[in-house]
Amino acid sequence: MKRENFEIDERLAGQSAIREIVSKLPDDEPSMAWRSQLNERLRALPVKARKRWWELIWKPTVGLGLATAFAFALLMKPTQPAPTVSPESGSIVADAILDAHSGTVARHELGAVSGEALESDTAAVPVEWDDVDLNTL
Amino acid sequence: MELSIGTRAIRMKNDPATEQALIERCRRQDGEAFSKIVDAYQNRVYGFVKRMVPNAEEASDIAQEVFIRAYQSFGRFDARSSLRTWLFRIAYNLCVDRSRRYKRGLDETSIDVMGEDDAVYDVPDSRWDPQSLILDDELRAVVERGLEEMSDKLRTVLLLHDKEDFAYEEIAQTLSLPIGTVKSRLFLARAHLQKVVGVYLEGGA
Repeated sequence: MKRENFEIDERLAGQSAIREIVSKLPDDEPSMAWRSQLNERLRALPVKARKRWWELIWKPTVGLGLATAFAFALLMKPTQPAPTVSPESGSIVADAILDAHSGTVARHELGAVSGEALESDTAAVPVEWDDVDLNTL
Repeated sequence: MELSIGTRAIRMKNDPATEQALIERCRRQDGEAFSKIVDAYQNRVYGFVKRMVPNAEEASDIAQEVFIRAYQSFGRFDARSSLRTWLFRIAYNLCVDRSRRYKRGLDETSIDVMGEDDAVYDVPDSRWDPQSLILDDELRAVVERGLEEMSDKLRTVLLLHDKEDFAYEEIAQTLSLPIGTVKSRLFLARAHLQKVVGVYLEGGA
């Protein structure tokens, strides 16, 4: 590899006369018309509007502000007050339950209500067994 | 750095800091700074493109396109390569695109130089002395014709190295080629020109 490089470098060094000739080739200078046309084309390019600092800032700021406001509104949304049981209403319910119980006990003692009825409402319901149920037994 | 005002070239002190300042301004789409860049490079870019594209009108258009592309994409110029390398890479790519459009391709021209005797390249002739060799219009025309005859690949390397004074590394960077390939192409291109000029000097042109 090094030997090849050396050989090509040697050969290139031997071509210095051609290099000299090529380096002396004159350049055709572009005309004034060419330059004017180039300037026209450059001017015709759509100008990329450079954003000013406040343009770079205001959109994110507004977005952030809106997001914050939305989050705040969600967090601070007035919720339905939890149902509270006032001591008065609690006593009313308790009294009603006690009254119902006392009434039932009193009627039981008077023989108006059977013992089973006190234990379960469903016990009084007659059960109808069909053949399928009976076969499973 | 060579700067020119309009089409009149003037020499300026090579000052990388100045060029860097201009580049920074160009990144901000500063038209005045870009105009100075155009002044500095228009002759060389125009000359390179004219030798790469045979049609004069098309060459003028492509040379303008080089600067337009540069102006539009200055924001992406990362200064890893020099401004000169970057501009010539744009120029080369546009020339290649144009070649592809015309389906000329970039295949190597079958220049018959490799099989010949080395004496052809190492001409021990006093007429090869660069000092005594006057590049008159006739010889210039011969050289220009020799340039036209070779492939785009060889011509590009020859022009960048011998005309624009690019280093091998710069050419390799511009054309995305290994340095060895750059050297071998340069050798082939010069050998072809040597042959053409040799024929002319022997009175055969």
